[in-house]
Amino acid sequence: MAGLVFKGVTKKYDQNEVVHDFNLEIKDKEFMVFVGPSGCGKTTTLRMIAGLEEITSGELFIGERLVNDVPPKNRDIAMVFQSYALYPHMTVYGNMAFGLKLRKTPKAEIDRRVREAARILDIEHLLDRKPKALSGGQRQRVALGRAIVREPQVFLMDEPLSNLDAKLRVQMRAEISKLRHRLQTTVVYVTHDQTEAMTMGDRIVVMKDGFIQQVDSPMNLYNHPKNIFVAGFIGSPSMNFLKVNVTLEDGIPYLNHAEFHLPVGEAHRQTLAPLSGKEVMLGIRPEFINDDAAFMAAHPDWTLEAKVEVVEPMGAENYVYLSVADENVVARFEAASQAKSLQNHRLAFDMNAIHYFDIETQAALL
Amino acid sequence: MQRAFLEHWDETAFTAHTRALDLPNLSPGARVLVRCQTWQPDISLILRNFLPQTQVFWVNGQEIFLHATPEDGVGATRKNLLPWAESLISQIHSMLADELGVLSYVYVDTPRTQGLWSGYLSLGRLAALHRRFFPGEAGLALWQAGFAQLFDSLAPERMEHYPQNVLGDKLSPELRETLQTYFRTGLSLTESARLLYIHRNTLIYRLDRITELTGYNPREFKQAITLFLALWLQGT
Repeated sequence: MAGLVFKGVTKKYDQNEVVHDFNLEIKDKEFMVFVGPSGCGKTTTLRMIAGLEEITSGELFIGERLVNDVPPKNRDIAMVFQSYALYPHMTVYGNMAFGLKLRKTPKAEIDRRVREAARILDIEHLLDRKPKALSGGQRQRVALGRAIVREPQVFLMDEPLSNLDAKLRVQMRAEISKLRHRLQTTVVYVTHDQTEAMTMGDRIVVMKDGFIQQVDSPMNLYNHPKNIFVAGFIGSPSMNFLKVNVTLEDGIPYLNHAEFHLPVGEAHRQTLAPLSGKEVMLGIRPEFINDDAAFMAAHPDWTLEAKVEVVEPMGAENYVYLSVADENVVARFEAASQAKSLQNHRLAFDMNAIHYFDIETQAALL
Repeated sequence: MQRAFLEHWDETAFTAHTRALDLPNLSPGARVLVRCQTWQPDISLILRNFLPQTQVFWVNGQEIFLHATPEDGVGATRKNLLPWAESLISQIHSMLADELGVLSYVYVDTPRTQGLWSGYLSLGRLAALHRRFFPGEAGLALWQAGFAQLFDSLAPERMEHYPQNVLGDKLSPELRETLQTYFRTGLSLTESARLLYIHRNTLIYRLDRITELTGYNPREFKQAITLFLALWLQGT
């Protein structure tokens, strides 16, 4: 097993730099998720680890070894792709054993590894079947098995669940998390799905346009995003953003918007007071918009009125789409909420749960 | 599978090999060209196992040319062959990367192509289009090349003028990303909003803003085509 270290790694295609000054340390046995929108450079970075793309500049270490010039087959890594390409005329056993045969592994050793991987993945009863007789989830497990038998130092997974339907994806997500604990190995996992990232990763690298935006644990990313992009990317429904002006009244900073005039929460007053007269970006997560009568009674100065556009009942709660002076805001209200489409509705922002961002730099102010 | 290694990849040598191999009538399938970053004999071993029914197989340097026939059950109709052939691109690409760590690009021709030599030439052209217009993709099927074939025949300066006239520098990176996502999802508002992590109304606002700035409405089919081509050409 081994960790990975990126030191100032960049990747250029001709003059176009797609990964910029990438610095990161992935610890041994860590489950690291790269997440970001399409084109953010996450797959390119994964392919640089695999050796499928050359590193333009910088250094990449796997364990203690500098691997910039080490060919892919000697890097001791295994990849799992979105398309679980299996040999159609080989059995599951044959599919899992094939890579080891290519590497001239002794027969007895191949047998031991294949059976052990099959046991871990719970596919022992499928070893004699051919891919045609397997479901999508079972095929993906065979693809995982092919990687496991190699006993690599690092597993690289490139959106391995994207081809599965929603239900199976949730199931396999849990399977991979369990598997990772059993295998006790380093995993680098690429996805564009923030739910996968949040539920599976020890730490997450959020990327955009080839730059690392933030590296942190899932909860830290959620609670302390470093900029507007991370704040909007992590969390579903995503954080609401509204531009507000800060004013100072009797020493207390207030947030002013066409539809509201709200006092800054106590914990944030010291930071916001010097910004009086400036415009900042307010960020509030849907769960911190409240229409509970007791909450509003306790904080009457945190309330405002908004027009309800659409109510989406989710069962245990409702997603309510509101318009606040022509800006869109999403709230998560309890299922018992009285919010009705096309009516005005009274609600409150939890002022102690607000995030503030600099409009120009987009960086968090707190 | 029959196999030949050709040193001189020209029609004469090709035809001579075709005769020498005494090819049976080719069953319906697709011509496939796999271009690898490096050649090693295990590549052919993997392809032979992955495409066990494949009839023809030639290797020339780092190029492997084959006539791939679909698995049982896929059927030989054009409708069935297209998704099968498209999935070949990602499957062969990931198979070679996974088993051998070899980076490859895969090109697939239509089953209509007459003759193996013309199939090979058509895939060669596809490889050139790929390098020019789709450098980030794992490969290309002929029917995915679309407008690229048309634009390939135009003078480079005309290709530069077109996006400049339509888009200029009017769009911010955010609006550009919005438009790209909107086109990638086949003009789906819901799916685009989901991928961009924004509210549907925010997306509509941004699309309206694009209309204001460029004079082309991405929600109108004909105007969307104009914007799509300009955006795509600007990115190539």
